[in-house]
Amino acid sequence: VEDERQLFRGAVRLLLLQRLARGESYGYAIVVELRDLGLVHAAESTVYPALARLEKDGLVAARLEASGRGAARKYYRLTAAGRQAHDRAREAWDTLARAVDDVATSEGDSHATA
Amino acid sequence: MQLLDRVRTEGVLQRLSWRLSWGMIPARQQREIVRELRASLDEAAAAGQLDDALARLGPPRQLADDYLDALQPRPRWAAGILAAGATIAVLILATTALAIAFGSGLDAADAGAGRYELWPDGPFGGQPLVVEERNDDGATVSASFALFTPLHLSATFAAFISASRPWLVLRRNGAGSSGQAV
Repeated sequence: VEDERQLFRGAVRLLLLQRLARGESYGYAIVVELRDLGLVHAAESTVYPALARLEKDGLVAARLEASGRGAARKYYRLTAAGRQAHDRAREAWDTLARAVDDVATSEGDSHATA
Repeated sequence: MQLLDRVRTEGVLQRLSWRLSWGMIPARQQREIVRELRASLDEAAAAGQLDDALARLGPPRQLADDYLDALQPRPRWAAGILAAGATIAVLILATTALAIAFGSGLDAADAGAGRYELWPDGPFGGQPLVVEERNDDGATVSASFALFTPLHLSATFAAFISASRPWLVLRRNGAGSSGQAV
């Protein structure tokens, strides 16, 4: 479980960039969306500080919008720098995922040969 | 949101806010963080998910540390220099006023020729705060006051440290090793 949590923490930046590349959203909606996708480690404690870091780094911009359910929601959207960061992160992720697949495949081959 | 739930959420947000201020997050940014989390908890409560949302939020102390790692507040060297300069200016003004008052007191007392010292045994490194030399007519020949005493330097140093927050350099260096992977 701890390994899965660490893996999620490592990927949360890309997940947020990926989600916001589809359009603006706000923290609670993103948490619910990620959990609905089966990411059980997605939590407010991880997502909100990560959003704050993205905003500090200028990768997302935020605006407040009144909500009928209480305090105003803070909506995030990608900036131009955020789109570039998203493209780079996505490329890095694809490379990593391919490498993991390749290693797994070559391990399978070597087991079959042995 | 029901009153009991409001009390619970405000308690969590209050503890978080306190930890954030302890970590030197600026007040405006603290308010933004708390406002965003309050909106989130309001929405969770409206969906009947407040308990789950509070559990996912975790301990306020840990959440504050995660925010501090994310935001990495920096030392404010310029503010430190400004505070130190302001402290020196205040000390000069205050001591000047004290020297003038001391001279007026000597005038009122018809003090004759001699060397007069104010607070010779005070906490100023063994030197008097104000020294006034008078001639036989009782007129002031010279007046001087101590400024760079251990007490003054300590006050200036304390102002610089409290305003610049140099310990945040250590926190930034420590947080540098916990970067995110992707």
